[in-house]
Amino acid sequence: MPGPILKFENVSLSYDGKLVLDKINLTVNAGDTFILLGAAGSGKTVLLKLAMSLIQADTGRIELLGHDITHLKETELFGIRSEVGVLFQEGGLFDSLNIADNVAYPLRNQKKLAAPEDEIAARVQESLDFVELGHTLDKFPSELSGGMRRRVGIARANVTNPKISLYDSPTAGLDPITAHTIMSLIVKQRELRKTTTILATHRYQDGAMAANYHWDDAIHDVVRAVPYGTYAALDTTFIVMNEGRIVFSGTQQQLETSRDPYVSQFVLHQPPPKIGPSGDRGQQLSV
Amino acid sequence: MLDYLKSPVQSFQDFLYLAARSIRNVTKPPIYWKDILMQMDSIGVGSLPIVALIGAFSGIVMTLQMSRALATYGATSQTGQVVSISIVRELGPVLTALLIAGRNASGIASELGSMKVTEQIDAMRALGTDPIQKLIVPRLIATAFMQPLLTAIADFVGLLGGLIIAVTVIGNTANQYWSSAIDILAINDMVQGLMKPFVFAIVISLVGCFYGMRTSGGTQGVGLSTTKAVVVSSVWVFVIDVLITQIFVSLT
Repeated sequence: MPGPILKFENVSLSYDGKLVLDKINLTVNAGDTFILLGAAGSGKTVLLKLAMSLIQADTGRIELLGHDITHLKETELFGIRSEVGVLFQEGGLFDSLNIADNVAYPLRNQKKLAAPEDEIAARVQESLDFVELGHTLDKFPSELSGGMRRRVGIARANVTNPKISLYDSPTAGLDPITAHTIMSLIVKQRELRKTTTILATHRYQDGAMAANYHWDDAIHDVVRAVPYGTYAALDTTFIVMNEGRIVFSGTQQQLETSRDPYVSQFVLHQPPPKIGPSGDRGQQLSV
Repeated sequence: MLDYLKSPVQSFQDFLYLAARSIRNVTKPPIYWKDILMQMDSIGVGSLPIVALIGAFSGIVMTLQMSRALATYGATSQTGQVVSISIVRELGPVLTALLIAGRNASGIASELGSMKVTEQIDAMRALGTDPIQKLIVPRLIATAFMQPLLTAIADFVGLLGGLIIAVTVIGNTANQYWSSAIDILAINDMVQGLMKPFVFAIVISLVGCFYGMRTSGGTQGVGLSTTKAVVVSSVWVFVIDVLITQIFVSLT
């Protein structure tokens, strides 16, 4: 489609007098992958919610799939939202519905996606098979583990074949093995269905995986596209947020070589080294 | 002082806005019949045993208390009248409303509050449903329909409780009690007795939904919303009771 899929122009938002997003500018084109890195409270979730107008910006303009959604009414937004897949932080599954009904929810409730029940059942099955949970149709979310709930969330986000998928901290609180599975599914979705992807996370590994892994048809799995130590060209942009501002935007290579103390924490997995009294750690960094 | 008042005034304004949107949506499609029936079952059928029990006890206590006062004037034969007027006009509607506020406003607030803090409400909006239409309207319709019925049952059971005491303790005949209880009731009392629970129901369900939908701050926030929903809806029950009673008193 012509033009960007998602565009933020000078978007600001405050809660109770505190600025949570400060003049955000962002352009996401079709096929892009954006990795939003940031500490808790840096504004990642708010940015994703603004992207589908679940909350309203104070100032600025947001364009989604060619529509200016900044001031649209809730009823006008439903049609546009039907082309967006979203995975909420804890999965956001409905406790009162079983897994099949949870995944079928967007198909049954989005007017634009209305389909006969047998077609819905087939698509639900396909979407759950995609996340390897095709056997859990009749279970309830409370019967599944945290990782499985996220996978169901991914199935529900993508059952509609969205043009863009938003993932809010999909690996938060998961063990490394499950986190890897979740990221593989996100990469698989992006590669097989050409979905534009925005991923908010605080784990640099997630971003590194999205940037360097692809779907290999021959072995039918998600694998590294290039050898370790090199960078794949998979249209992945890293964005680092701090207190509502974008403090870095660039490629993985640029991120890894950044000297900014806040930004480099996400790559190093630790706070920047403290400067000793002798000052023998090189140039002093100001925080 | 003005800052102190700002927050409650803002909350009240938000409540009125939500109430107006919810009431306007009652007739708008889509109407989620399945949700309405499920709520009717939970609010109406679920509350029936406790409403009947409290109704019976209030009738019994009323009769016991009144018997002494009536005996002073030698008017124990009028027991039915006193019991029936006080139950149908006042005790039935108010006690039922307080029970519904305690049982259902809290249930609604905690359910919606949990959905809010676990992002299920956001998910609902993201996936194409209006939470007002899907969550609030069914609870509003179910409560507004079931509460007058529950009140009628509470009134009836209360009169039966009164009958037991009137016959066994005071020495009235069943016939005497029933005829004095029924004869005294005018159309005004019936309208008042059913109008009150209808208005109470609207307020109780909307207050429960309002506090549920504005929950924030995790599980602690859910507890806080639940408490507020019960306290605020109970207070409103008494305020509205005074208003409606005054309207009917001035009509007669």
